[in-house]
Amino acid sequence: MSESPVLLEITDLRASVADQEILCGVNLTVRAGEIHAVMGRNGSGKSTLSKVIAGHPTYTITGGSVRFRGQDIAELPPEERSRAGVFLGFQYPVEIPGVSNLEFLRVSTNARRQAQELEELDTFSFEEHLQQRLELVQMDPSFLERSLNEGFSGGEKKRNEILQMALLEPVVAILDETDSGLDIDALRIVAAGVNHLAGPDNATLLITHYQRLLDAITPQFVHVMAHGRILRTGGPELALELERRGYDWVDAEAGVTSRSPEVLA
Amino acid sequence: MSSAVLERQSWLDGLRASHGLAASELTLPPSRQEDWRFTDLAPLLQLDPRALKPCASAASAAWPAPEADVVRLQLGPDGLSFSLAPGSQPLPEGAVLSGVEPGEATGLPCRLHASVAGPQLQLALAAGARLRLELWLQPEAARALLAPRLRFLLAENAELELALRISSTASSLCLPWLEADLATGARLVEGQWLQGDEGAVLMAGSVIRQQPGSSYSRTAVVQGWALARQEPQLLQCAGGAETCLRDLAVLSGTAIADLHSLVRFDGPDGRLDQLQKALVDGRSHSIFNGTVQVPRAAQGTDAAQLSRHLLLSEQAWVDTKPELEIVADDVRCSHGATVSSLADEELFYLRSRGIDRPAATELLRRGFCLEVLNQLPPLAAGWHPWQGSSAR
Repeated sequence: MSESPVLLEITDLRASVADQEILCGVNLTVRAGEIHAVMGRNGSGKSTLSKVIAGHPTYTITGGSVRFRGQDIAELPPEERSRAGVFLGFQYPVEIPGVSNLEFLRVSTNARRQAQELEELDTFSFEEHLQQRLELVQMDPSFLERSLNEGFSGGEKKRNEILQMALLEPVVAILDETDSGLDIDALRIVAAGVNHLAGPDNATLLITHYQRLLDAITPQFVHVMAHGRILRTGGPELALELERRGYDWVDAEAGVTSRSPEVLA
Repeated sequence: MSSAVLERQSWLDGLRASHGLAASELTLPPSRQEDWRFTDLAPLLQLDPRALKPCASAASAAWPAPEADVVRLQLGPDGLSFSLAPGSQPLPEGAVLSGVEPGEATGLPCRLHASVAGPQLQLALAAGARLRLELWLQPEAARALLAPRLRFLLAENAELELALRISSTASSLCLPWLEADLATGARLVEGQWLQGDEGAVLMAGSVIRQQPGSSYSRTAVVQGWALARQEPQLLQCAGGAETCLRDLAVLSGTAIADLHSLVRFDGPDGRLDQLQKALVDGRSHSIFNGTVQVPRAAQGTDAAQLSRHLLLSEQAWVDTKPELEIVADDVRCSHGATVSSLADEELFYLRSRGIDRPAATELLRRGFCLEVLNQLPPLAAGWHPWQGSSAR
């Protein structure tokens, strides 16, 4: 058992939307320096778990707890979770016309820096600060002058997400299907960025369907989610087994009926 | 400002008494009239017509100096004329500061305008000539009556960049009227910044006549005002011209903003790109009626019209009506209208990056407005508060 500090501790977490329970008792412990992967079918509750951790107001926590560095964050609004160091990389980053990407990045970076008791960056020093992070994701600086995510391709949006991650320097980064919509080259760049940012003091939670992301970012732990719960946890070999055998055997071993009629987000 | 709403007849009598017989034929439209069905005239009737007087320009010392190649006009000492602002270039040959004939257009803004006196400017630009013109119309006093009449005649390939700024104090009445004739190849790029206090009323009208091969672009921003009614009319006299309309209204309190636009194509292959936006907060009311007329002669017309409203309050109200009258059969005409509140997913995205709800809301409001503000011509670009933070 690792002795590094626990960053995220999820205990018997239950959450619902419109009175429908989607998370049905999730347990997960993430320590500093760890990379975890959460896999599962569509509708198993993976994305919901990521949004609940980040504080999406659509979801109501009906039981259990989410503790970040020992603090229960269930009641915190999303902006405070972000400032504390929780980062959600979106599966579908929204496009916001008229909001300058550069200004958005500066405002969000300064919000996080303020929480870290660091000096806020003015326009000029921010652009300097930004430069090396841009190189990390090999992003064309012209994207900074555009509206936030507007007209970006799928790959450009994901690079922009990792750029935000690099600027915000989160303690726990949750990447929700970051590999979706990426071609091989973009996947390689995004994965290199995530690997570069992973360190002994932070942790990463990858939510994915596919082994191909885990070929580029090697997790220490792989969790299989179904019906709103984590049914099985293993090492990287578990992802390979899922790739080979699918999910039915996990359901069978856990005594859960496959293809539950429940509709899960 | 009188706090009481005068009866229509009393108000008209007051205007006649103060401003002479020209108002004798003036009537106010009944609320059952389709064009005025949604527009409450109470703010106009709250203004005491006897107290409204033309007045001089506000002190211009605090205004930034005009750029080197710019003609800037301001209100003269009597409020009935234009004068050159300090630091301005002189008027070019062909510009006359009086003698504009009344226009042919109808409608209340035009009729009101014709009933009162105001500063006049007629400017003819010779073939190939270029001019950058600013009009800063800021009356120095409340209870101002401001009725500028502007007429521009652009010969072939002439280019005019026009920036019109009107700032009005409470209980003022502003009646700007603008006409322009654009010959083949002429280009008029117009920016309007129309700002009024919560008791002021704006009744603005314009008629632009375009010959084939001409180009007209209007970007107008309305902010404040108890009532702001605009009636821009664009006539592509023989088609084949380009028209671009961008309008933004920023409303709060009990403000009413009403844009009734008319674009008519009287020939083939004309183009229109129209975007109307309003940010509607408090108990304000936004009205849009966009008429596009494409008669049989206007084959090959390509017209797009979009109306977008962002509702920020449950008490705010929107009436929007795109109105396409298409007879020609070989055309491409599209229109759309959306009324929405702030998108939850956009708010969450910003908040998930540490931006609190009020700041996220402000960013989204700004983003909504910048789509129009970014289109202001260079002379007017510095007038909006978010200049430099714009994304393109």
